[in-house]
Amino acid sequence: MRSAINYIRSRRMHYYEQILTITKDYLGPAAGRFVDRQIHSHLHKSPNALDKDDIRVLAIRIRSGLMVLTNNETVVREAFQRLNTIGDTDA
Amino acid sequence: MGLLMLCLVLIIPSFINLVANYFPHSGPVEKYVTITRTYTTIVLYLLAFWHLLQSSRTIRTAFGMEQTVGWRLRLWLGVVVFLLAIAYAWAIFHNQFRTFSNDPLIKPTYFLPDWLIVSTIFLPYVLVWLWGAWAASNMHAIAARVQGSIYKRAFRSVAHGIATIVTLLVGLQFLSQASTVFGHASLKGVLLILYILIIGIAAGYLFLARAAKQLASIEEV
Repeated sequence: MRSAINYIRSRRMHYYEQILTITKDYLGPAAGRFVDRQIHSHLHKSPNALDKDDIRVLAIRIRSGLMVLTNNETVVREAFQRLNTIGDTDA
Repeated sequence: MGLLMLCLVLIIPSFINLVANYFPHSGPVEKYVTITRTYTTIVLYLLAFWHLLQSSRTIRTAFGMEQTVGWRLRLWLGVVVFLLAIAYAWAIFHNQFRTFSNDPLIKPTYFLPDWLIVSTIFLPYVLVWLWGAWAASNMHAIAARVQGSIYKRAFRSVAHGIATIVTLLVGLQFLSQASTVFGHASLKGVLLILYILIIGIAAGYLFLARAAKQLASIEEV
């Protein structure tokens, strides 16, 4: 039971880390604050409580945020596609 | 704070200049207005570029970049500013209208004695160029090393903005020594130079404003 809970926890953190890694490629050191803000304000969750189902919603929110910050559609589209691949390889 | 000071440089000296328009034939008013405008501009530029340099250093430190990063570019910029300072000194002392003018078409550039021109105009301007150049090089170094394509572009814009304004400032100081040329130049020529300068200023401020807005937005969106 304990190992199952630990597995779920590590998986949730794993999603967060993956989102952060991708977002850092665009927002650098500000990525952590940006992602945390999106999670808190749109999902009303803490970063370590992310589910696989949240990724799609979060990817849309991050895409909207990036669209405000840059008018480079290629960059925004690329970030969105990368974010949407998170969790695809999970068993 | 640096950006605010740069905006004030555009506004306050123009208002000081307006005073002279109310006393068109008064020599002393023109003299004191010119001196006040010159010193206000210098103080605002000194404050602006000091703040920009300090901010760039703070950001570098915050990103864990050592102070030695980009030292070679800073050294080269120091050499360039030194050479420009020599040329500027030459231009000042070859400007026969720097303190007095017997030509009614040309007003003196500074209305100040040489020792005051050197200590309170020449040296502060060279300092402003150096601080500006170093601030731009710091921002360039940050842009080159920081992670994140949007973040990089914002810092690159800040670096370009500062570099454009400093370049323009250097050009303006050299132009201000060409009183003889401007005193007798055609209106068309003077207007052309003015428009080029205004476009340059606008470009520099646009770069800076866009980047500052983008950096602020990253923390707000």
